[in-house]
Amino acid sequence: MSNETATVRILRQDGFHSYEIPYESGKTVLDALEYIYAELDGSLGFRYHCRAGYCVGCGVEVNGKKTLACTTYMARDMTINPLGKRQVVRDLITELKGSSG
Amino acid sequence: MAAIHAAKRGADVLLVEKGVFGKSGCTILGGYSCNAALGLADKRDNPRVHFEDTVREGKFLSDQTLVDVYTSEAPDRIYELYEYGARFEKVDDHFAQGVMPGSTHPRACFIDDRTGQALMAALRREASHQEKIRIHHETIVTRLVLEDGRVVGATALRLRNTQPVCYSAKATVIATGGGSQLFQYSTTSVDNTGDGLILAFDAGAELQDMEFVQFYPTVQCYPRLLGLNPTAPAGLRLQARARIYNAEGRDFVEEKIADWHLKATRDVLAQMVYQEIMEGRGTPHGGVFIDVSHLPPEEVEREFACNGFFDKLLRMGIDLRTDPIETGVAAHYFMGGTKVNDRCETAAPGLFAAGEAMAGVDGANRLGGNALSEILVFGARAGDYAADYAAGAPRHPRLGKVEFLEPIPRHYESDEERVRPVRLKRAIQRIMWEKVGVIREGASLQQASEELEDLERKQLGRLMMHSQLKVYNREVLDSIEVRRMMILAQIIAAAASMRRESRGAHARVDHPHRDYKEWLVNLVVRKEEEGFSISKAPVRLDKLQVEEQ
Repeated sequence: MSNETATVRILRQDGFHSYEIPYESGKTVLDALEYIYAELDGSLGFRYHCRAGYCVGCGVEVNGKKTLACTTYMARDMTINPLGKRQVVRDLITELKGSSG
Repeated sequence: MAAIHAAKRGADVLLVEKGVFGKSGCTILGGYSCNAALGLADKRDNPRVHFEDTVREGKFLSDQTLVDVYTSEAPDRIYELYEYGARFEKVDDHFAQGVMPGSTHPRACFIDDRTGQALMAALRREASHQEKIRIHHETIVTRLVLEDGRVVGATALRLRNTQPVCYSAKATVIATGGGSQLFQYSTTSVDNTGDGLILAFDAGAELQDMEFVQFYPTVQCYPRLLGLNPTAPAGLRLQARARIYNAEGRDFVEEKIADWHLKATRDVLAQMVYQEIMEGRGTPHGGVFIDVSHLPPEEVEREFACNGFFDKLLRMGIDLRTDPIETGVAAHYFMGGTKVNDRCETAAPGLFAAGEAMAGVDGANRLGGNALSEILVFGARAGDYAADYAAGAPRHPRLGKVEFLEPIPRHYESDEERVRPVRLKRAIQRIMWEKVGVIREGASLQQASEELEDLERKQLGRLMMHSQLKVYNREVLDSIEVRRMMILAQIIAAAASMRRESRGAHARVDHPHRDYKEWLVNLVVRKEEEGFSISKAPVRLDKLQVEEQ
């Protein structure tokens, strides 16, 4: 495994936070978020369930592009924002469509 | 399904889901097959043949009454789901039915290769139309409330704001799936942490067959195959003559089983791959290689054109004509779960269980394609009988003063003594993978139990969190889940240690044979004042006698 790193900037409640994490080409943006949460910062708010693109729970914007964190490979330099059109609940977590409970 | 049936029977239903309604859990990941003996592709198929296939594949540990109910009612539930809008694929004017390994006749109904997702979409729509169903999602149940030994409600935590809530209920259904996330590698959704099993166990229900965990061979390992099912690499071996080799380039499966593409079943293949990895001949990411690049390029393109698989991989930078991918083994499904009768009642009055959260149908190994129709059949039954039970209950329970929360850590300062719940989860997952995984052995199972006890003693009471935030604090969720994982891990390790034979998904190198004399029994787990006990219960063979295999 390489010793390369990736820089991840995340737009959170109080502005951008920047993290340095190990870079691996075949891993996803969701892997990066899980790494940040487990190893660096347990306060990071993000939502996901299936890791496979089925639940569509991990929608974010990566470098300006609306996508799912689990269906996008990580890049060496990433800026991650919550989905633009939804109201942000916290960090990368946005209101659900048709939320009823 | 349980909520829909209970509501249609007149009950007021509250559906509480840990994640997002209809999106969390494992049903949406169900790939191709949903078994029901409709006899459409082959007239010789019927529920009796499906029954025999299921009991045989369960290595004769199944509860035959439950299997009979399941195979008899699966056809009706398929037609019911069609009414709810699940558009099963058709040939001419009837449902298409595909063949699955272990099934005598073709009986798998399907919707593309995303049957689970389509079923869940239909169920979600139908539940949303039912006025008697209210939904609380992103809410984790923390405890079932008991009154005179009966389950009369639950306490929970709304994850959106960490607010505790209390529900009173005349009847409660557990439909929370299994706990494959107890293992380091798993094909399941991250929610699959065995919550319902431990809630039921704590409320006095029994668990059964907990030693039987199905491991799936040839799952995704590295690189991530974007937007594809965790089991996607299986297509390479099922559709084409893939090579499987270790980091040394040795075709370790082919060396032992010449025509393995036809003969190596899931359990055999999972055990071989796991052994290579655990003995240090795996790939850098903990897998082995699966590769079709030795086949003619045009054959590779043609074979994997279906559903755009070849092109999807190409867009990810993986050219199947030249590139191997790393594949692995992962925990996939719990055959065990809450012990129920044919009305889905547990030993705790007022508490019902359905789907993967219940034990009994699958025995020692689940037949491929049964999981999705099991949730339909037993979801429906649990909903019906829970509604009847509620209708007959004397009064709506009034909950007195209840202890509503499992303790959530109050420590936020890092020090050497304290551990974050996510780290403890990973420690449990590692022990379970290495010592209670695909291939088991008495001494390492014992060691696993000791290590888990040690972690429980030294770390479970010393959890800490980075954050005090109340809004969607993942560490709160982790701290609740990890306690359940700890108990469940100890139960599985103990049951696996007790069963001194190999049967179905339970492979012991120190007891490699199936022992019909001593071990034609289910292991039943009960909560005790201190820990738990495990006892043997003979299997009733009233509908199909054992054929020793």
